[in-house]
Amino acid sequence: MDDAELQLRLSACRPNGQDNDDPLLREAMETLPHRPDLMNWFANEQSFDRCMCKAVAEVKVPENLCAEILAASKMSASVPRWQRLPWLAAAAALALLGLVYSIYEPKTQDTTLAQFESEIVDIFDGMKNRGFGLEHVSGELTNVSAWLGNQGAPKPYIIQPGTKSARPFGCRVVTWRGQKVTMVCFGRGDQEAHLFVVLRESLKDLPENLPPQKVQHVDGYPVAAWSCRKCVYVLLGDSPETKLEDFLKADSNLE
Amino acid sequence: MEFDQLVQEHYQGLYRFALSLAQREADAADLTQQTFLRWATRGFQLRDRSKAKTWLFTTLYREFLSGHRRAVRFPHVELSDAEPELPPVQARTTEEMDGQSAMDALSQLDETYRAPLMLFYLQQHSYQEIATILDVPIGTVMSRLSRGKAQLRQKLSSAQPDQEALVSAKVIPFEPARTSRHG
Repeated sequence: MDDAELQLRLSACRPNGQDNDDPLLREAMETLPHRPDLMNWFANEQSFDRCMCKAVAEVKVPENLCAEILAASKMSASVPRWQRLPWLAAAAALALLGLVYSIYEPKTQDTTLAQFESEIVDIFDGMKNRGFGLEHVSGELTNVSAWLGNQGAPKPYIIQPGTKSARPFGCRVVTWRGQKVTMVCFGRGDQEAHLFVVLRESLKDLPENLPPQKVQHVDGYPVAAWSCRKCVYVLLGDSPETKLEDFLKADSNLE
Repeated sequence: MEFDQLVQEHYQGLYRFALSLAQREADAADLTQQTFLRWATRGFQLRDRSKAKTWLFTTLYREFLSGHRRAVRFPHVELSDAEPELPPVQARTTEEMDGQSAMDALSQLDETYRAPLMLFYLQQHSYQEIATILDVPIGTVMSRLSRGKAQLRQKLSSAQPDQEALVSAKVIPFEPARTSRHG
């Protein structure tokens, strides 16, 4: 082992003894008693590394990060066993494709806002029961919006970024009557709400700027809706207990 | 619950690693979340759960790389080709360092060195695990650690004008020729 290799090995040695049993590093360390200069260098190296490790361990982690990860994971329930078998999944996908082609898609233009809310609640309830995954995870609305744009889904223009109390943690696209509907998930404290965005032209007789309607309950879920320019927004509490009004307060970004 | 425990054990390390890569807190948080989302949707594919930690860090690193659409892979440096550049360590430079200073110094390094160094300083990974996470040979990891530390010392030293003289030193502080290898 030449000096260059010796030093490279010692450089890879963590400073708190974690690698003492590694044969490659132990071999290098065993030469140290015969090399006082090298031993001195190694001691300094380890001292420097210890300082860096201590400093790195002090890097602050956002307080709510863990809670947000766990909240997002609730939206990503375990994958059903049949989906773990690729051939079965492929066969199921083909069968589903055929089924989709054979099914008549009802026209959406005749749908009222109340019908849309009701159907979205049904879709969400079904998703919750069987588990679903967020397709994109992000804490920034600009990232969420950019991703949705790439998917060809309606983008939530009305929401202003920079909120402190209601933060997005992910989004996905759901299909409603053959149309893409955006779903953006928000967290506020220990509560969650989901914003569904659909093109206004998909619904019947909706004004361009409908102010947020009073929170009502649809099949138990708190729901509020409004429209702005080309889009209609339906905000849905994650559970019947969700205080949806909190997401519509002035200090949230949903108003 | 297994997933909750996994998150509790690794989210801080993953976030710090992500921060060293992305250098923006929001992006680091996104990367960390995205990594756990991958676990939630694909983690079942990993049969050996003892490798979950390496899987998470590997996934985060790949997420970062794919996000940046890297066109050029990092060149590999074999052990035998590597020439160590080990200036003297100035403990005084690092004694007062806090987390922010450490990240500032690391952020100034070439990306090639930043990732292995951060993984090394997190202390959760051996050099072999770092090689797995970054998908490079062991010799490359050792080389990058050695060169990265040299760069790091240089950055830290250059922040202190009175130590400029030491920065230029590129020789190792011992004399191999005068010392018998076997004592």
